[in-house]
Amino acid sequence: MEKETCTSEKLVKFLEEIKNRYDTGGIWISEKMGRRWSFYCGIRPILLFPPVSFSLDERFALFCEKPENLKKDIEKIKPKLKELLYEN
Amino acid sequence: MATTLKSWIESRIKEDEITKYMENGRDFINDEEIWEKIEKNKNPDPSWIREIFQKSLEIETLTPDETAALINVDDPDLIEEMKEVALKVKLKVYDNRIVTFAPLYLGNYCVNNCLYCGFRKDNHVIKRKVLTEEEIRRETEVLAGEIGHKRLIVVYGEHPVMDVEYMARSLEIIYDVKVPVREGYGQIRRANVNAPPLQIDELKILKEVGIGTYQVFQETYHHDTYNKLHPQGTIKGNYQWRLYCMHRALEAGVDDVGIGALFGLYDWRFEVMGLLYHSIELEKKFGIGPHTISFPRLEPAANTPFVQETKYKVSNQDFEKLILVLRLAVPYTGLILTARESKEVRDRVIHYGVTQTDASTKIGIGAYSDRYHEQELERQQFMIGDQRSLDELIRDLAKMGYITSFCTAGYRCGRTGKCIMDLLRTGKEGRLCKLNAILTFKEWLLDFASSETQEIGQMLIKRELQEVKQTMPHVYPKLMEYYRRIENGERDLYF
Ligand code: SF4
Repeated sequence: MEKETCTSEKLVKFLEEIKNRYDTGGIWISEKMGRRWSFYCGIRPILLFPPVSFSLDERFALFCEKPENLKKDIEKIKPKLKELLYEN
Repeated sequence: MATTLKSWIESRIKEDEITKYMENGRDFINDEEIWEKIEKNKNPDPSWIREIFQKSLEIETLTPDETAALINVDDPDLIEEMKEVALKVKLKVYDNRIVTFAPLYLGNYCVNNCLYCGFRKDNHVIKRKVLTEEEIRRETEVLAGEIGHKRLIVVYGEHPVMDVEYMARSLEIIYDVKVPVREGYGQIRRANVNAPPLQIDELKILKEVGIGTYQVFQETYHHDTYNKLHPQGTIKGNYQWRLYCMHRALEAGVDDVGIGALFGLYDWRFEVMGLLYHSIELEKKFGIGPHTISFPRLEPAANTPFVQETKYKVSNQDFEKLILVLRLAVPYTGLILTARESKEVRDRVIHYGVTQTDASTKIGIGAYSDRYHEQELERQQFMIGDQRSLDELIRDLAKMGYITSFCTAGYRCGRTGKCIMDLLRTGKEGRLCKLNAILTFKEWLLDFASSETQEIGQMLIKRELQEVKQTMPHVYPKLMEYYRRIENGERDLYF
């Protein structure tokens, strides 16, 4: 009964890969709850830089601390992320 | 659909949403075991107590034996040490920030009959009222637009006029209010909820509308006392329905839960142990402990003689000690001190590791927009002891070296639940708190502060910026960029 909404190891592993490949610092997925966001899964903040978000769909967004390198490839990555999210 | 009050009451408790969490048909509060531990750990060895201090400083939850030992510390020198450690723990987890909020009571209807409460259903001297949508909007406009609050604890009674649909709608209204102020705008960014125990499906509805912390106090953890004070046949008469409401909340996906006890109903030492056992149980079952712990003391209420008669009134000395023990026993949790307490008490115990407090507090139904200043016991649940405005409190805190934070950054990006628990335990959240406290404090000074508070607040900000420059040089340039943008009118920038 761990209070981790998401239990997909594949998804967390994929986020780790993104973190290492694009040097993103903390990178996590949050779920929209009304006007606020709720932690879903991922790698918690490391650098303490302001988080930047990339919308995945109406329900989920990807947050990371260092988006510079990721920006150029984010559209390519989104489909795989969403696939893993909804597989969960 | 339950149509009568009686059938509504009968439909509230779902036995399977209690029993599924119990082990061998028992709940996790064992009254005999708690008393045994308190007795067994009398006259603790000071060297052991100092080892316990170290464990708290490592931000580890204490065991029941360790907590009982702290409860039994009587040596004045050791208590002084305990005060120092409590403050260190708090600074490690939350830095020097204090979060402020206001309670917003939406109604005083109640189907229960708690002996110690002015709102109990048989108390006919109370003027009953539940706020309409328009009234909720007006209250929020005053709180967010005039006083400058960003966080509320919205309080609901247990009654069909305040059912879960009413709760959800009221939260939507509160989040919708946006009021132009001096330079920016006023808005409630986090609405915490103090409500009766709900069912799992109902908690899912509140989660969807973006509830902050879901707060329910057990009142007393002592089974016999609980049963005496909460008449059987009422919803609240069911101890376990209340005890397991945080299990249901976490199962429903609510991120943050707040627990508490009403001190003065039973022996304070037992209640502290009860709060600890509750925290340990949540950690064990869900990997996440309480986001906050509250420790209100019983206060006089209209036509409620129980309050005068209780033999468990908590003295100021014991009150101070129980805060210290809670701070050390559950080091990562937020501790909420309310304006029930007098200014003198609050000014003293704020240094013992308190993280949140309220100001400009009014607890009469509709009292913020009615603008009446006298406390009227027929309209409110109890008397409040500290009527300082938010501006005064912030100024007083700044003089003591505390920065008031209006940060709700966690809710902007999903640093919530288990994520924030880990950040708290590792001290990372404290550093984020510092950065966000500076930014939100600056916003508040620009939008709401009196000139006297602005002056004192600005001096504090200068010191804080200097500290960040030295301790977190890698984020300092970004902090300064955000700081300037706030000065130029932008709002809600965060780390
Ligand atoms: S304590 Fe709460 S449940 Fe009990 S009578 Fe008062 S308002 Fe009702």
